[in-house]
Amino acid sequence: MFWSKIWFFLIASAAAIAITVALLSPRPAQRARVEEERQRLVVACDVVNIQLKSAARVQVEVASSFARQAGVVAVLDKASTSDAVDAVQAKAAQELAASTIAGVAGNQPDFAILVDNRGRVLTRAGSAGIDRKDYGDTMAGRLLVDEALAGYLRDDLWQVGGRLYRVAGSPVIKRDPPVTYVGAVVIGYAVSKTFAEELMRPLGATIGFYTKGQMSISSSPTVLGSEVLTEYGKLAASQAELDTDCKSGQPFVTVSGTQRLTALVARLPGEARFDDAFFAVYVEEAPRFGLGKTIDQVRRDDLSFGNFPWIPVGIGFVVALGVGLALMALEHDRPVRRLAADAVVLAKGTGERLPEERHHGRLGSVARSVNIHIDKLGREARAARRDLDQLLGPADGSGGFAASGFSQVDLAPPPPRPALPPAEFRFRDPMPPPELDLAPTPRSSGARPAAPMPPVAPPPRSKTPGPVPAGAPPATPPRSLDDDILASQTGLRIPAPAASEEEAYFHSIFAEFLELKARCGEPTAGLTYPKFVEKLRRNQEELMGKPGTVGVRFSVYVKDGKAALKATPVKDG
Amino acid sequence: MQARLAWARAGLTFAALAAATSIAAAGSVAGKLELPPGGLALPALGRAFLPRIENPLAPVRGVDPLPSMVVVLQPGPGVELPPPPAATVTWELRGDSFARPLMVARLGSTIELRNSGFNAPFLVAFGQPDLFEKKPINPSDRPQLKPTQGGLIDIIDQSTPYLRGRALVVDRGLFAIPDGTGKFVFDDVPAGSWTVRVFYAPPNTAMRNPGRPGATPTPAGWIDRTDEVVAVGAKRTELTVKLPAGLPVKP
Repeated sequence: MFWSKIWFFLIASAAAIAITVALLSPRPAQRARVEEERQRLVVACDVVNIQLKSAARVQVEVASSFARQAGVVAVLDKASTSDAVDAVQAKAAQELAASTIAGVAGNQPDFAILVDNRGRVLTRAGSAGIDRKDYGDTMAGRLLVDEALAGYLRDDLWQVGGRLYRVAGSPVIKRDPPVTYVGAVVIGYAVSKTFAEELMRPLGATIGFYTKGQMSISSSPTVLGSEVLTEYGKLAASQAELDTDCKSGQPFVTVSGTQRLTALVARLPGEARFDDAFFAVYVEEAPRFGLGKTIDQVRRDDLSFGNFPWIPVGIGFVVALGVGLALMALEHDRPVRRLAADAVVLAKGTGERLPEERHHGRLGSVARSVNIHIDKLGREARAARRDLDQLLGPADGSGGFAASGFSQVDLAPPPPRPALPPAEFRFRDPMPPPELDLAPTPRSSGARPAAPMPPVAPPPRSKTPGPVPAGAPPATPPRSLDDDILASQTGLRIPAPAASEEEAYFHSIFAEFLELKARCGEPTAGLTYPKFVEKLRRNQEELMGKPGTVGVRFSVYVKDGKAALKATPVKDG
Repeated sequence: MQARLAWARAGLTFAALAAATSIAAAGSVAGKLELPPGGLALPALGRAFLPRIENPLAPVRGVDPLPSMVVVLQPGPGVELPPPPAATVTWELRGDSFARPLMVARLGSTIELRNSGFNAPFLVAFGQPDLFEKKPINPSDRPQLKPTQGGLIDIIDQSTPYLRGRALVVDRGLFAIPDGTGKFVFDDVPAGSWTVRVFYAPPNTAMRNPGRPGATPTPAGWIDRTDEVVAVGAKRTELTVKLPAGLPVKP
């Protein structure tokens, strides 16, 4: 099984690596997509700023053209010399401004404001962002107006009524000598939905303009979540230059209804900056790819032979499977079959032991264990036979009990004894109380010397001894643990009765036994007292070794028409 | 009884004569602020998408600092300062700016703001949150300020970054507002030694809304120069106040 285990380890490792790779592989792709998304937003943000700058140039040019209109110069020159702006002046200037707006080719301003040299509004004209009724108030003080009155052209971003206006200012200069400043022109373009859509048209993104914490206008109906204001709050608190907002900004995810969007915010400059004006560009968030979604994205093409290495994968699979099956067959199936076959042979009785040399590893251990048990059973059988021979004499009539008519020795069952102390090693539970009811049975084994049994050594684990030839006494007769215990507890015996008394007792038993045999018509030739006594002593010794036994009483009786001897242990108390 | 009335008449006559003598002793101080050469360029503030461009037709104009200046006479030791008249100074708010960027009043006077524009600014006094009611000033509203201490009142509009006005409250001294050429006149100046000082609140030198990040109150204060000390007598005192380049100010 060693190589099978190695193979299993290799396959498991390969599977783990494959799963890890499968789980990890979408992540770099996901990162690439997120980075791509960020780049897309950064580009969109930068492009918005570029387009706003470009639009500002156009605005300034329009304002400059507006300021060069002779009519505009004239009305402002006149207003600048007046102590107050009257309604007639304002009305005339308004018509003039409206017609000038109408004359702008292309993108016309949404409003125009004429400011005289003192910073007073001569008139307001246009369709949005102004109140056309108002005039005479002072616009000097606004940054753009101050600079226009000082002779500068510039742009700005204003917030009026929650709406953003791209404005431009130009000084109005009377060029007839003496060249003098007569006022300024302010024109404005609303940041409208159309403007937002035009900004985003080439970018494929969406833009929303915000001011005072509210969306001003968006290129789509999508309304971003509150995260956009949170992100702007972080940006507004930073001291970084506005120009860096796009490049240094980090896209964030926000929701709009069920849509998940990735957005990037950038502050807007100019006067509107103080009204917390900013814009957010956003795109739909790229789907997050886990393993499942990656698999969902697999198309049929991806599984074609041209795109997927089916042949190497198939070969690898077949090789892995083949090697695994081969190793299982070699290291598991075949040894088990071999052991099963040997077991069948053993069961049929055609074999005595399992051939251990044919089995290796754990199966070899199984075979050895089985053999050990077989050998043990054999030893126990021989020991029982030997005991019978010792009790009854050798079966060949050389003075044994059986041959001499000593047909049966019964050992009366003693009462249950307490548990034995644990032994160092044992193959079985402690022997039950001895009850030898050795009825005459055919015996084939010859006489064996009743040699004392040496302590039983634990059988070798690696190799059990070979079978003992029938009839041949083992060189070292195996002993059971009971034997060891009996031998070790001889010191517990109670003092034996006096030799004369015991001898007399044995004589009486011998006499009773001879008499009973004679009564049963059994032959008594060959049954001598010394042999009889020796057997009694041995049985006595054996029984005295049992715990609690203080003596042994023998009695003779008739069993199945034959004389029999019974040994009964006498317990203490 | 008649004798008492006669003594009372005599007392009143003496007091009137004493007052007449005192007025006759007062002089006047006239002078002109001489601005440093070169003028002041308008600082570029609140740039939007493009930098500002000078027009090609005429040279650009600088900032006129005179509307942002006030000349103050501070009395020397022993000079008795006449009590300020109970006056109300009107300060007009004309849309996106005040009629004068720097208003001046003596302590005890009332400053009345008159909103003649179309906007409704939310004015607050920087550092003096209780000076204005916390509400917008609608067109034609006339809120009144009653300063309780001398010094500068820096007024800003919380709803715009540009609207700002400064009011100088003079607690000990006389003031005069220079005209467009820098000339100023103090009449009825009690005789004695007086120090001439010029208070200046520079316009448009920084973002004007200190409530916003990055904006700070613009510096305003006495122009850092060696102040003239004039002895005022019965005759008219003429002087020219030369102002240093850059118009540096000190608190």
